[in-house]
Amino acid sequence: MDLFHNLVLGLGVALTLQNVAYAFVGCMIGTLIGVLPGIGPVATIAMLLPITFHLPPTAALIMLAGIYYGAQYGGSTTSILVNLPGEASSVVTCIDGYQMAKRGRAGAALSISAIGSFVAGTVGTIVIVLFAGTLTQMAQSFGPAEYCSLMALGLIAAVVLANGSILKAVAMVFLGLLFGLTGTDINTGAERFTFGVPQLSDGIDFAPIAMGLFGIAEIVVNFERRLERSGVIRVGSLWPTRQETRRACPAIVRGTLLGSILGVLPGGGATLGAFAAYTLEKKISRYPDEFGKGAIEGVAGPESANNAAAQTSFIPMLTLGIPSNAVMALMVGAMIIQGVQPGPEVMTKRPDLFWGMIASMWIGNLMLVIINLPLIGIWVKLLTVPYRFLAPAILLFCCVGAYSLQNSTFHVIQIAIFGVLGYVFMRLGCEGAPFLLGLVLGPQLEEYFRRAMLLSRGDPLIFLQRPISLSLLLATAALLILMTLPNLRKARQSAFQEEET
Amino acid sequence: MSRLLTKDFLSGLMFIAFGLAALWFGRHLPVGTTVRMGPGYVPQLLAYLMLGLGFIIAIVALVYPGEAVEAPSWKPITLVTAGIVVFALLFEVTGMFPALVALILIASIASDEFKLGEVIANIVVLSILSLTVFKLGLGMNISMIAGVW
Amino acid sequence: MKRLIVAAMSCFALLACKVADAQAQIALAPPLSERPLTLVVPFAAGGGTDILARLIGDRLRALTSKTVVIDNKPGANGLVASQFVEKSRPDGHTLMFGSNSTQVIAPLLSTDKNAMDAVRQKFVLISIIARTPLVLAVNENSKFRDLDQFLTQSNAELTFGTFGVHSSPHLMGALLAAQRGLRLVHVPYRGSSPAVTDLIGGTIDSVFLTVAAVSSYVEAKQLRALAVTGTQRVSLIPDVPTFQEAGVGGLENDGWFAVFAPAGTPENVVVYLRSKLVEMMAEPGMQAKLQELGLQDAGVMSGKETDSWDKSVALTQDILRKTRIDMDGR
Repeated sequence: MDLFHNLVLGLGVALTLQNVAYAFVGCMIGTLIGVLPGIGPVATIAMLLPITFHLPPTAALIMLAGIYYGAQYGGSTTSILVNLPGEASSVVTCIDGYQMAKRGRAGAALSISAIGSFVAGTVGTIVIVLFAGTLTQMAQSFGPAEYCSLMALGLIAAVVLANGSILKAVAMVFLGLLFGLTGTDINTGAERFTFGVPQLSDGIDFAPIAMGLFGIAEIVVNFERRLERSGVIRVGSLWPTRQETRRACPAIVRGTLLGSILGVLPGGGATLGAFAAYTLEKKISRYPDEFGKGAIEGVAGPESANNAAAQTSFIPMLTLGIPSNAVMALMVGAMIIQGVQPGPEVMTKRPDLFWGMIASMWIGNLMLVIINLPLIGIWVKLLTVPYRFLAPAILLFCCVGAYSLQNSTFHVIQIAIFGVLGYVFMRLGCEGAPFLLGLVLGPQLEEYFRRAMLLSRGDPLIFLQRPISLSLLLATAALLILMTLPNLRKARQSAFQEEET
Repeated sequence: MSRLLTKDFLSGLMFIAFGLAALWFGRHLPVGTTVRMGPGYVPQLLAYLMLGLGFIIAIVALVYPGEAVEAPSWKPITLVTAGIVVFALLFEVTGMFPALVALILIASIASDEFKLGEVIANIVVLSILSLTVFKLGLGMNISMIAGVW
Repeated sequence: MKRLIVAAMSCFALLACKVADAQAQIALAPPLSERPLTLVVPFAAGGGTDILARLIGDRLRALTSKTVVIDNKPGANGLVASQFVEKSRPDGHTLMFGSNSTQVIAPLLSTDKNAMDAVRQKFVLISIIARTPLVLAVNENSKFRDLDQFLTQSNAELTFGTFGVHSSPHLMGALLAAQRGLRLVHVPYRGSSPAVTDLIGGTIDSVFLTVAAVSSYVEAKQLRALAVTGTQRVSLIPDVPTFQEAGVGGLENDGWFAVFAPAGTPENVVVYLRSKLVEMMAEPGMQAKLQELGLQDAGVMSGKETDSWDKSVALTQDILRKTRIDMDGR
């Protein structure tokens, strides 16, 4: 009954004209910056923080939240259309989404992505309402050992999702780990691989690497192939076929579940969720060979996962005042500016804010799917622009986007460097996704490993002694074994076929 | 066809090169012990793993040569990279507009179908677009032409 | 003849008045031009430092009638921002929102032996904005009910988390350990939140963080604050004694935030900015905001810019010597 009361309170707050308007503004801005490469929700929210001074707290937070998931929706758009991941969590969408676009199925990819995200958003909101307490407690029981094991699981998943040679995929993960080490060592303050450049001492930013490795390299390769898009790409229907939808639905459910759980964990929940969803889909799919060439589950699963994770990542912030990623940290900042002290008491002291935000999340998702679905037609039209006009435009937006990250031309140079690297990778048949996952998860793996060892006073058995950590490690081992076995259904199918003959 | 010019063999060489680079650039970092890792522990570990994997990949490639690597055409990669670098160098010094012109010009040459009229049209459209989106829409603190606006 | 002299004298008097008037106009002319002011913040947007900087920027805009732009240039513990500001034109339009971390600790621990002297020469401290008291906190369920119990626990090793290696609290914790012969193991985190999370989860024994980072948890009775640095109690957590009160010496010195300008900024600009900043920090609205953020006003450091900086450097050098913290980051 209490719950019902709170929901009614929340909807009452969220549905005021002012808050609906701000949600809409936030969603529009978010979609736009999600589509623009480089500029992400972090930079935009930072730019808009001063405006929130003058807004009432609920409206301010609703707008900022709108920007956040709007960017998730928008980021999938560029991943699918031009192979440019907006966030680490959109990298997986590039793999199959872009391939679908190349085959003329861009409309289907975009619509499944939007619908999947909406379903995930709805479920995510319900999860928050019902399970916030439980999930928070679960997050609390995650210490450094558990995180370390989780990252290890994630890295093995990165190898599994690769479509080519496993040896090369493992090597790419390690290479990504190595690149990820650039920066200041958190335990000793020593600088690693920074070559004396101060901009590198906080590590390499994800965005320039993604833009270079995926976006720029793709442009170069397309130039080489003299790709004239209008001739080659036959734009198919904007909606998925019945078969595609049938395949996508279970993937959406699975992705949502994975994303909801993983999103609560501070630090990379959405990325891990998306990668895990992709790996899961690939392993249990009836059509594993399609993965990497445009399998719709490869888009539906990860997109649902990362949107579900985006929702549940609010939980630690709302219930404990602990931000689980950079965007949440900014939200905490916005709250402080408003004079709302984030922490365990927000739920009881400012229920209007708490429940208003949660209700507004669902409304925001609704708005986004309404905004995005019609836009799909426009985006797909954009693909028919001759490549000789489109490519320079993409390059320009990448360059400005990279600059805008920290107002520094060094980041623009970085996309050039990683563009070259990405081109070399492509030519040599080495995949970028395992590299990126290694880059993102590696430093965290090291940090948690060293902290766990520090706290256990050097006893490595701690990873096996703590139950959650142990189960995660067992899952990792299982995944490793599974990797060497062929796909399950296929084995069963061929077994049946043999019996029949 | 040379067994040395396969994708896999060259990948192996690339990984070996990265491993060696990591060892070189991290050589002054204290390694510490497994129990009390220094900042150099993981870099060194990874570097050796890279070297090992690189060797394995290269040798496997010699025994089972996979696809041959296609000869790269130098024009696109050089021009795109040059375009980005020129943009980066010009952007803060001369403002967005000259940098934009340079980038579009260079990138359009890379596309192999350069018609001056079309390129100029593209420049105009993109200038207006970036002005609206970046400077006016997002309120970014950049100048279209340095010192002027 | 007499009429001529009177006429001449009146002309002269008129002229003298005009000259005096013109002089007055020059003296009243604002030392800053119409261009916007940029306040460079060495930390990422949304963090504690950034919020304070934005508040300052907002008030400065009102007091100087100039546009104030906040430019976040995080990186290398303030080095990226410092390098940017020291190279900018010294006309008072580019300022840096620094702290003792960025302008004292970081240069002292730099591999470059002359870094501290270089920073002293390349910057002018315009005004100290606030002092940052630090607080030692434990989990509510911890067996230490007050500072005394914490200090007198037998030789067990205790862990304390901070928001970074070589940060202010890292130094304070190490100093406490050195002075009292305790075995405190430093566990560095990226920022305050993960440290608080781990403390609540029971992974670490204590944290040494800013007041703002722990106050809401102390209120919610999830954490217990044992003591604060500095010479005064903090209004956000008024029941918590200072280390001094609890009988522990050496931790009376807080960290501080200040606004810096590049060296070579004209004296009248420095004086003008200084007066505006002092005016701003004396406003009751500002005072209240500082309390809300768990900060203290400049207090005894106000008005003694050069002295305070020098004193801070000397104290930090002393701490580094006593605790033997260096690039090894113990």
